[in-house]
Amino acid sequence: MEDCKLEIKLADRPGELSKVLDIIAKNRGNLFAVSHIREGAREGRVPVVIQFQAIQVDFNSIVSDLEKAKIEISEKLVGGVEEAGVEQEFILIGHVIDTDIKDTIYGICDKDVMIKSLDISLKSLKDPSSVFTEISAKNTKAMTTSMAKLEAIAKKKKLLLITGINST
Amino acid sequence: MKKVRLLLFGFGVIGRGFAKVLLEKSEYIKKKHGVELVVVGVGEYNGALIGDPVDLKAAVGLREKGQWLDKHPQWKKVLPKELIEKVSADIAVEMVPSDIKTGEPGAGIIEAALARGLHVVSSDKCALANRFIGLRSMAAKKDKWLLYEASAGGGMPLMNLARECIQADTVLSMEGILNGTTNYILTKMSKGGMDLETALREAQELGYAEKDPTYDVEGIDAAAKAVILANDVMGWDKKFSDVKITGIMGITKEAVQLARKNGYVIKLIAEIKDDSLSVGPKLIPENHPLNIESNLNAVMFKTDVGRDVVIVGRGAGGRETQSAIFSDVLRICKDL
Repeated sequence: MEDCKLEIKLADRPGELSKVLDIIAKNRGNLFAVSHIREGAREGRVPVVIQFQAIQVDFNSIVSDLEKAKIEISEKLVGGVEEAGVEQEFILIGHVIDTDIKDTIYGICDKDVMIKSLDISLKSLKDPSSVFTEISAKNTKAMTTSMAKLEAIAKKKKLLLITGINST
Repeated sequence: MKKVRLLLFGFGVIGRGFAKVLLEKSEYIKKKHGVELVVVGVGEYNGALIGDPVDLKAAVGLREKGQWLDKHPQWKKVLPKELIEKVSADIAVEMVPSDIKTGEPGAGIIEAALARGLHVVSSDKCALANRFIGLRSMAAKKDKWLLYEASAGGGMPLMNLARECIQADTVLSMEGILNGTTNYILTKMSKGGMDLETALREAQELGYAEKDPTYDVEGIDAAAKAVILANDVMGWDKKFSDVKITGIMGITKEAVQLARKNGYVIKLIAEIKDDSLSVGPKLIPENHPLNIESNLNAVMFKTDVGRDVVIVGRGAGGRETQSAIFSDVLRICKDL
């Protein structure tokens, strides 16, 4: 079990906190502290720090369920360490160069997502090319958004997208 | 000695495999399990062998000489559903190759057998992927066993493992290689430097791929198995049409080599997680437990207690699949 901490911004109305605690309990989180930071309230939202213990896989489910419930998470810590940047690799197969590789790359990058490496294999100009790419993102949410964009681009450009086995 | 009467349906590779293993292991089964398994009927699409017992040795001999069962002295012009009505038995073993779009004729045979009060063991992924919930609820209503370990994963004990060996665990997700043909092709492309067409041809020559390999290379076979695993192990209610499927035909030799250069292999992976099902090529790190070679299958369970559990084995094959079918039959025998 890891020590976990989440800082969330909750709407200041009854029932909001219990919604969050239900999600943590449902995913087997062992709760040990909840603190409201009243002085940090802005625009009807109150920062709340929740400390609990959970295994990594359950922590991920808690974060995912909170996001699905549209609860804003401003900070997440597992084992006392802020969630590290995430990396992902993929291969695109098809006419990757002809369909404007620059446009594909720009389409998935933003301030939180960047290309780490790009490796291209091209048999001949008329044959399909293959591009192996590693990208890094600031957090899981940024990676998920970027991968969804990549999937849409690959579909539009008729490229075969092969992602890593535990891709977001 | 407990005598258990079996009706077999289908006498292709799997049905013949059943007969051969029964001929070979019947004494062992009697000694170990105290059960005498007796085949009293073998149903084919156009007739059946009926007898107590059916002469399986003669039936296998005929088919191995390339002859049909209508040359067998116990052959009768009796269709599968009539066979169920006509012959008293305890367990129907359904090993028919059904249509992936309709699940027939296998689903109809399973229904008829349950309606007649027989327990059923099936290896028919198409029947189950199409009609899983209906067939399971019919079996429950009739208070009969419906077991189908061989339908997903062949010789690998996946559903029995989930049912019997990790009983306190919640299975969070499953992912793995559920088709040996595509694994063989992708292994040859990665290790042997072949292009896809050459590797597929070699798989066909070795009998790992059918003449029409569409079901395998388009991911259909793996998708049908994923539906069964999702419904059985995870308790979902999914249909074949719920699976997002991408086949391997677009994968080039260059892409496979590029993956390898960067420390990865490409495998056709079925993913069962987050209430969704998909089958498609994925990048696997070379040191990952699912990086298994040749025509092997492998499945990784992720659970909340035991964490990762990986099973590797033969996903198909006339003999290997019998391990699962006999396991189901003998499980039912315990209750008879």
